Amino acid sequence: MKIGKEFNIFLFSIKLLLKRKSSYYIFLILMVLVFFIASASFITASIKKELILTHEELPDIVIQRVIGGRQQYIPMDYIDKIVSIPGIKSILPRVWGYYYFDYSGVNFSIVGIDPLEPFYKKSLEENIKHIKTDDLIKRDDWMILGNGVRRLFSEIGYVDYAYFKKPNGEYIKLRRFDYLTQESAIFTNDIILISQNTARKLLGMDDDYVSDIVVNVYNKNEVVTIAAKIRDILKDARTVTKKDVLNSYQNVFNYKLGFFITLFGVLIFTMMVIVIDKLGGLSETEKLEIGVLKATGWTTSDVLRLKFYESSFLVLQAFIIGVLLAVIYVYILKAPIMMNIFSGYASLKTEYQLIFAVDFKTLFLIFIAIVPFYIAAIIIPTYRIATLDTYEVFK
Amino acid sequence: MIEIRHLTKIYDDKIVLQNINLDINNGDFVVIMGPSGSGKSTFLSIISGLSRPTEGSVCYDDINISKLPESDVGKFRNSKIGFVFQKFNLMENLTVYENILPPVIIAEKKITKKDIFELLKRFEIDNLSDVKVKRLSGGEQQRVALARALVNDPELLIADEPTANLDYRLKNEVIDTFKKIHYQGKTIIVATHDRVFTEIEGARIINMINGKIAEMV
Repeated sequence: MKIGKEFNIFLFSIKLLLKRKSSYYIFLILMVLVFFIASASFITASIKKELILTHEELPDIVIQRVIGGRQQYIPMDYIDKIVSIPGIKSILPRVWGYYYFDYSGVNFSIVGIDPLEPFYKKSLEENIKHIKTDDLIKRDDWMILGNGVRRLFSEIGYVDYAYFKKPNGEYIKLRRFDYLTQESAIFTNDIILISQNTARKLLGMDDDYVSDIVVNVYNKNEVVTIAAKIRDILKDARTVTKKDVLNSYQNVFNYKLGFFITLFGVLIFTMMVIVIDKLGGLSETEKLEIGVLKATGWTTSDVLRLKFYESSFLVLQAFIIGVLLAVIYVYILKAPIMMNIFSGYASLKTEYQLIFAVDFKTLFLIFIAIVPFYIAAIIIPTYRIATLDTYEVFK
Repeated sequence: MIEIRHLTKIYDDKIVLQNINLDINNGDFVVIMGPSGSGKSTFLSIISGLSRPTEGSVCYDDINISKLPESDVGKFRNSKIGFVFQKFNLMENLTVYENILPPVIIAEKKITKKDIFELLKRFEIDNLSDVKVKRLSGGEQQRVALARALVNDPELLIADEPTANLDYRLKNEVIDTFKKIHYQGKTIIVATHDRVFTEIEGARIINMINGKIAEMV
């Protein structure tokens, strides 16, 4: 095989491809299909990665107080009642809730923290470079913003400080202290960290109450037993274990998987239509092209290679451009519309940063479902035509 | 020299060519006449290697192209034979220049862009090299088809009804072109209904009827 000849066959195949209108339609269909499936795959992979990251940070047990099906604040003395349960490693009362920012029509998560508490101190040091936690102890009017909140505040001119309304209608002015980093965005994007005192004021919570209580245990195999013991002692308490949280994620993903399978079904169906159409015979233009090539001395092998280059070029371009557009759509444009279907965070309008994650298995699956099938759908009828008597092809 | 011996072609139990024997010398101008369905086109397709005979042989000097493997027939046709079809069989969406390329791409000998343009100039279509052939007149298309057939400088030019789609003026132009090509020493075989070809000086006239040679002049 001469490289010069082969290169010229390749160039000529591209010429023929670009001059055929139907090539553009097929390219467009394939590219759009790849784009949709790849976008869905990227979003799923990104959320999965996020949840894996988050999973490590989830507490073993969260204790909530539920009365009449509604969550209530928990008295602090509940901690004293469970502290003696064997196997408990740590207990952390949390003060948090949602704050509706009516100017933008957005809910933020407000989390009250005690900078001296080892858990919060460690988290702050991990998420904010060069933080001086001592400065946070001296005063109460500070706030640390998640990335989504930061963006939204800067859009409305809240750069250095912001006003928050208490339940009694009075306003509190809080100064921006710092920002959280962009990593693990799913739970930090809409968050505002403030002092516990300020959080209590904004959430209308008394000093001897908390939102929920987080428990970590020494032996992970004992989580269920310890949770049962907690429920025994605290009759109005509900316990949510790490496994429960992951199960709820799993349920969400099952429905998303259904969505994904539907998209994949559409892909397979479309590919079948294209393949069946091509196997049914090439167009008259393509037949004539093959006849001309044969008549001017091309062998069947030359013609098949030309058609291989032609179909590979088209389908690979469609695949690569489809995937690149999906990358731009998901990671740069933040997947408008499709993200709402996948994230389940649509009730919180703050934006969610998708972590860059590629599911190579799914990409490979899309590649397999499209590329070889399309090439085969071109090569098989080409072989049929190219092996006919050339004179027959023109008839 | 082309030696055609006992050439027979049967399509779906129908005998299209029957036991044709013919010798064509280098430099001959052979005009094959005959009514539609007499087997002229089939005869051309077999002697050019585009089809295989049911029986018989077509030998170019010592090479029997009827027995050559498909890939060797392709190479042979590419270097030795130029073929002009009745309907030109040009790729309509490609330009004039691009239509000339197929035989050049796979040619054993090197043919440069300059060579192609010289050929286009010879046929007075060099100024149309970037024009899509579907925008050309019938005569211009015929010249593109001729240029494609001759670009590899073949020894033999075969043409099937080369003037069938042309008006009187263009017909004469094409005939003049064939005369010039013949004058350069090429062997030419033309299947036609057009009696004008029979008036070409030195032309051998072969009349075919019902797949047989009825008369040779």
